[in-house]
Amino acid sequence: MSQLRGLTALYAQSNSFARFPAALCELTTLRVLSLSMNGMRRVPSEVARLAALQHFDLSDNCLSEVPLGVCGLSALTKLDLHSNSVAELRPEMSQLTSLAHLSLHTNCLKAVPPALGSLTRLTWASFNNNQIAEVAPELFRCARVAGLRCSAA
Amino acid sequence: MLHVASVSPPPAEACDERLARALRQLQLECAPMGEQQAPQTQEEVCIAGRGLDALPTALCELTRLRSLNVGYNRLWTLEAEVRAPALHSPVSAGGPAAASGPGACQLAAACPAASVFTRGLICPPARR
Repeated sequence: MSQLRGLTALYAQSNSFARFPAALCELTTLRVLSLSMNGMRRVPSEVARLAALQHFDLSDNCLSEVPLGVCGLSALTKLDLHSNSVAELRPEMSQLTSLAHLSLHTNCLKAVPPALGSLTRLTWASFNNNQIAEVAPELFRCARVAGLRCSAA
Repeated sequence: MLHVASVSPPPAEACDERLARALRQLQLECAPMGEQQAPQTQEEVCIAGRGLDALPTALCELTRLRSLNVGYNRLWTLEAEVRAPALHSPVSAGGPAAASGPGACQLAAACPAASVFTRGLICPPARR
């Protein structure tokens, strides 16, 4: 796989990758990576090497946290993490300064932290189907947000 | 007089032919019998929903590939190399600890030592 040095888009949804394939971290030209519906429990920090990645789809897996390596992907504009088991959002998510689309619906979140208020390019976010009791007011300072879903399950 | 042979890169035509051959091989490996195969190019390949357990060998030859769709298969690894010792001993899901367990599989008698992505060399893990 590492021979495919020019690959910019890889769609590998609905397979049996219980572990994140380490070879993917070598494909540094990737701009789109879909690994949804694979039953993955963790994503290694080396994923941060995918510096050109713009759309990362990790939805419908078994992630219990936002992978730290994902927070280092500063070119990311779209991050799909819905339908996992994420209970808490990392403050490091504030590093995702290019992010415009964030889907976190259908997880186990209890709060939306202030860190997300730093995502100044955010235009769309979904938090519905969680257990959210608290939304940091900072989120509403994201001037560009046009769509925000926070309804209860 | 000493002559030193220069090593020149393969001509573009040879490269094109190699890629075209790999593409034809890929289509042969992934097209179910009697089914119309979607057109593939050297830049874009879709082998989604083909019931693949492993990636086709020819895929790693497509060095001009830009977009690859392998969704809706049964892939559990993208490893490009099956290490030589593993070719002569049972390999199983989950690493060496499980090599002799119920998931272990025997290699086919004709073992293509140099091949990668070879179907049947590695047992897929138990599905979740």
